Amino acid sequence: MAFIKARFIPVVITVHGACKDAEGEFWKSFCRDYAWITGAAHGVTPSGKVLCAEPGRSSCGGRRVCDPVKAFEKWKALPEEERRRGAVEVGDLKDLDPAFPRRPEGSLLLKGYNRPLERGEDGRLRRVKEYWDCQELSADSVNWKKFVDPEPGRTWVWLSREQWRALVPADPRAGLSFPVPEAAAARLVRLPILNTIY
Amino acid sequence: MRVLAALAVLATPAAPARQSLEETHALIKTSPGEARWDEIPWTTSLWEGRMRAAAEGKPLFIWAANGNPIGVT
Repeated sequence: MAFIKARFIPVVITVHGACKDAEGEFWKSFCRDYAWITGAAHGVTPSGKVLCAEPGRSSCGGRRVCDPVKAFEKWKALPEEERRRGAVEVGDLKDLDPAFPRRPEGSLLLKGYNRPLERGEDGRLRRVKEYWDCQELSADSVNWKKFVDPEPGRTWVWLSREQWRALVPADPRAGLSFPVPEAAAARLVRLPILNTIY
Repeated sequence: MRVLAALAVLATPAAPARQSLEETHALIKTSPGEARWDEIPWTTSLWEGRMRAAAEGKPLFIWAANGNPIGVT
């Protein structure tokens, strides 16, 4: 982690290859293989050269985490005039694509976690030691992987201003009980059971 | 029949034990040092990251997902 912090500019983004602005064009310039970009990490130069490309793939590194050390070695192998400060001129981003989804004004973002648990012989819940998950890479390619001591997944619940305000009673006082509004109940309780994307 | 009954008893999972919400919550949440990617000061704008990378002479390390991994757009 220290290596990434020291050597790279770390960026985390939602895949939005259809964005019709300069940022979207920059993204698409090196990520043409859309199906392979989500869930992965990519080393990229400010000019858009991919540092983690796999043999046979023209763009990003596929469904695997880019090795930052190898990516940085490729970066150092580039000519100095490509790597020096200011070698690439990047101006302010103007004319943002209005279609890009943005968090509604006044909304709240709740951070949550999910983790596979199992019940032990004593009847108590405990963390699973091993967890199997698969990725369907294509119709005839399924990649099963074993994760030892898996860390929790993250869930994010967006509540609009109207939804979270509906959770606040008009006359709040200790011991007050009232039904959770349907829309908020669906987002807080039902959807997390189905998936982590909602 | 007695043998079958005994096997059935052996195969019965333990009854769920009562656990507090706090205890279950602690089981699910991250433990210290578990999610080390959280230690990275991620920039959430690709363009802003590109500007910084160009100005500082560094490459970008981009983590992309269908739905932002740290919940920000």
